[in-house]
Amino acid sequence: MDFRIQALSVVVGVLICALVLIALKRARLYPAYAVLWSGIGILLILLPLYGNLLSWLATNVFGIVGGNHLIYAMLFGFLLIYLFYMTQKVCQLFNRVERIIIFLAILETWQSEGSRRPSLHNPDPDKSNE
Amino acid sequence: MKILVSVISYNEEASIEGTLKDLIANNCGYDIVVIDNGSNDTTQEICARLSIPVIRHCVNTGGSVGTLLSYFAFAYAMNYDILCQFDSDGQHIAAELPKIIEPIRNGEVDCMIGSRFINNEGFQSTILRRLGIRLFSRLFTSVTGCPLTDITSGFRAYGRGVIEFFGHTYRDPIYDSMNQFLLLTFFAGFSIRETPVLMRSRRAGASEFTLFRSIAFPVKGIVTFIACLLQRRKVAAMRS
Repeated sequence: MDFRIQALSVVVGVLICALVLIALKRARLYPAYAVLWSGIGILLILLPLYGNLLSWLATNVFGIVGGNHLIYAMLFGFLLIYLFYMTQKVCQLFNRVERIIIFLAILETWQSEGSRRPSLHNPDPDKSNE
Repeated sequence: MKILVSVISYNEEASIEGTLKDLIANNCGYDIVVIDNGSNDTTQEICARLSIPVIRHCVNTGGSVGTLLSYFAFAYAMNYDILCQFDSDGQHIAAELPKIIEPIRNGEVDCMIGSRFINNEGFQSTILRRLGIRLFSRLFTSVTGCPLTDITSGFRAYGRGVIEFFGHTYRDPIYDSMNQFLLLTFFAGFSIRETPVLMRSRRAGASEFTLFRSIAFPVKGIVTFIACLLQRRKVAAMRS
């Protein structure tokens, strides 16, 4: 594998790890995501150690010319999976926001009408307050 | 002195009634509030029957840590001097509460933790979990110099200083009620101490520690330690 791509990989890996540490220091990153991103950083830093293995895998297993292309393919695969995961998270957050909006709307109505607060579990609010 | 016992609950209808009755029967002068993390069972009805106020999250905020800011904000807003954390699954025993309340009432310490592993009596958890708890408790002790044996214990009491700090001053996210929360408490300059207590095994329901969470716990725990060490000056400055 070309020396330049290995050097670039190490630089990018160090940069990612440094960014993760800064984000952790500022309390802007949750540990689960910190593990994920620092794992990617470490994989990139260690690329010179397993670069030849990647080249061999690319040529003999995946039928790709050159280890560099295998790295691109792996990064693309990772980004696709991560994007899918993030899409799920967005859906989950959307659901939460929707519920909070509904809850706030009900609270505002109770407040403005000065009515008794019914139980959200019971479809018939009058019964729950008896 | 105003004392609040916050009972954390998420779909614990099978055990919460017994827990609340135990707290009512052994009441040594505290108020009780249930923090319901978005249950879709009869938790609210049970609390209403026993005349216990409920702070209900309209969405589940994830695990016991998701309720932490609610009871701190509530205790701060209602001017409580001591706040106790109590699980609704039946593990904690109300008669043991004075052991964690009294040292705070006497001004000896800011945060008191009830530990199962000092006298090794009562419910002791599985071997794997004990191993994880021991590992992180030792890590905590070596980082802070504060000897702890049961870092995951949810049987805790906090003084007014801690209530003010987490209920009002601290604004960054809290994602871990064990390692992160205790490290932040320590780095903010509060004293932490343990006392031996008895605990039971949970009466019903499932633990929030699933197989995946148990595997992820050590990895996340180590990152949490690194994050807290990086934040220690910021946290200390926040309090001052």
